[in-house]
Amino acid sequence: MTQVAGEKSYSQRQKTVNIVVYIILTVMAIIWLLPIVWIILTSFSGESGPQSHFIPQKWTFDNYLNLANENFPYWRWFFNTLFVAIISCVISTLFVLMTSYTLSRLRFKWRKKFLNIGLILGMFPGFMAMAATYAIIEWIGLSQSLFALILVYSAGAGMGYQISKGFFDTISHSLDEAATIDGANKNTIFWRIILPLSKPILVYTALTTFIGPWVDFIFVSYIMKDNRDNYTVALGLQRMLERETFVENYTTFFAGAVVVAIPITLLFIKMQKYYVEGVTGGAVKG
Amino acid sequence: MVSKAKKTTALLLAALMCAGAFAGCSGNGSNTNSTASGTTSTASGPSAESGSTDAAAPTTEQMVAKIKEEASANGGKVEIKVWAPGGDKNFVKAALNGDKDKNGAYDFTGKGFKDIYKADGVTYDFKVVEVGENDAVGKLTEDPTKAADVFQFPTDTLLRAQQAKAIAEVPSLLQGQIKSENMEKAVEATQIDGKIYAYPMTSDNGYILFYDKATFSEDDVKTFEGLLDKAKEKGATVLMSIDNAWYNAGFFYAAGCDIKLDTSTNKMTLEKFSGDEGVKAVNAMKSLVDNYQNVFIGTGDDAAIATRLADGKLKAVVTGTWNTTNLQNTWGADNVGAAKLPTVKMGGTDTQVHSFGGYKLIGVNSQSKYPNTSAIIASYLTGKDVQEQRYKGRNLIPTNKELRESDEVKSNPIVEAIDAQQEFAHSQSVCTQAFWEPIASIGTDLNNGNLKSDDDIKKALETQVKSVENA
Repeated sequence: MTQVAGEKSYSQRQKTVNIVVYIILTVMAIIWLLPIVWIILTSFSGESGPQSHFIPQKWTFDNYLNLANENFPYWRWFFNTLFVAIISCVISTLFVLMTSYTLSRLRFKWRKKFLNIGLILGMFPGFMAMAATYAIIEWIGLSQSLFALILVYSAGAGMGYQISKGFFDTISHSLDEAATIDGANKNTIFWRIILPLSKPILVYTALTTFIGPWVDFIFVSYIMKDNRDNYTVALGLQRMLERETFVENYTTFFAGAVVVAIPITLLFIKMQKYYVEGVTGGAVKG
Repeated sequence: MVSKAKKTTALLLAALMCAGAFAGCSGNGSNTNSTASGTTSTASGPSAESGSTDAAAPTTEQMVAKIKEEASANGGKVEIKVWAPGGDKNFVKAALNGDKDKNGAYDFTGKGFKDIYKADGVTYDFKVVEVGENDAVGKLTEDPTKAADVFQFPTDTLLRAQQAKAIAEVPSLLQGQIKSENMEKAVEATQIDGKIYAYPMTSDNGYILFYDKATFSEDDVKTFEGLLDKAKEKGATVLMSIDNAWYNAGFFYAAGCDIKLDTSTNKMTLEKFSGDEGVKAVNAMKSLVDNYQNVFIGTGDDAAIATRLADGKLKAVVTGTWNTTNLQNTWGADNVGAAKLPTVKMGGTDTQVHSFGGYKLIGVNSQSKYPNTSAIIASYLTGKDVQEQRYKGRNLIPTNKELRESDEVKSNPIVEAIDAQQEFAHSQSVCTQAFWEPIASIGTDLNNGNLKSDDDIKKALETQVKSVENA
């Protein structure tokens, strides 16, 4: 019987396997893309409210033009988010890289213990301490402001050191030693030697922290309460679909969702190369 | 040694985290405590001053004097924040500032709050912020100091606001007016243990049957069986979300069950729910689901209703007035019929399905810096004139007795249907948060065909009733 199987040439068998694989992949791609295509299609729909057909019967660009109105200052929310994202991205990236560098290169008494503390604290979801966080923000008088959000998103950033520490560990120590001989101190080594070598992990860290404010809902809704001027897009979009305004804002909501995706998608396309390098680079323990 | 050290660190951290969590809680706790003391002082303040009151409405001068008093304590300024849902925001703004709608739906020129309560040396600064009625009490109890002074909310959340001591009692000066001007049931809905906590605004927070007149006749909608037979014949569908306790409770009430609440312990008692009456109620729903498959739709929130309307098959739905515009757009404005809920066969006899009927109220934050002015605003926003404009401009049905008796309101078919259902409507204020999920799951089980025999039903009811009563 093996003889019969052997009659089929290798390339033929390879072909059948490929066809099956491609069919599976196509089906999975369709399943995965369908909701996204649906969101984009609905955002161009000229009909009001949810519809049962997939492709809109009336097309319009109005949903994008009418994104912002008196009750839903979409663009304001958009730039709020952008502002918070940029600032907290810069702060948290610095925090993460500095923490990682310290834990990777310096040797001090509580280093091992600190690694464990960071690991354990990292296991608790951030919103667990939400009531406490709110009390502190209230106490320093920052409640309902964008600075409170920046504080919340970037203050605990140092805890996410694991991946970048892994990356720094792979950079040869002999570079540090060579620099030390040339008269560099730890600070100079970080800025001049390690950072230029760490582009992938820098991009990875910056991207992940940049996305945070765009997708977080819990903290914004708890901190901003009724201050609509300071909402971010995640909270603002959710408010669009309340019972009274559901049908009216339905298609606009999807237009808003598409616009949110634009800056993040652009960034990802531009940084994709580094992003993948960063994740895998940090994962391989040197 | 190392592992021991690790363990200790882990333990220490765990302890720290717990402490953090508790610190958060106690922070909130002390907050509510201060609220409590706030309530007593604000509530007793105005009533003590006014002394003995009679049912007569206070004069404008009396009220202006109160406002002046509060304004002078705050440098001549009155800054009030009002929460209203998106659709009502502009209306409230206009009513306070004396503006009119750009489409002419309502007009407060010269008779807004600012005009009526004009006072020397007092500058009004009103901020109307959009917060949904259903979210209002939740947001208020989260942090009363950041919340609005005056807010709109539905009756079913009144108890929560009162228990958190976040809502101020109505000053006795204004109580007489509420009692004398509004429908008795609406006044009842504002009370807890005989004390008035809110100002009745609209009387449409319940549900009735809406149907397409082109498909059903007035006789068809009298019984569920008639309605569904006709729908089957015409290839239409009928929707009532029996997997939502707000709707399916109507069947239990109809079968003779009752809901009691002990306000001191916050424990609910579901009388006869797990007895024969409860089984009868569930069987009535079961017969609709089983006998009219693909005709009776037992599930669907507002989004699902909108989708099914767009589909074109949905021709009758049990819902509230908030969906009216949507229905009118689909069926045609003249084709939207409204009726009290149909009857259903329960153990062989046609039984009227009951309902929850609620009101929309206006409340005053117990921590408001302007307790009296806020109360006067709430009273103004629920007064006859504003209710009249709210009915004309926003289609919201008044609670004011005089307006309800007027021909214009009386002849409105939706008002007629609500009034007809009124007799069978129950107040939601007996329901705590514990009620909704367990009782809703009975309907979900029915829709999924999980309850096959009376034994199944009884078992399911016993489990769910226990989880409500022991919550």
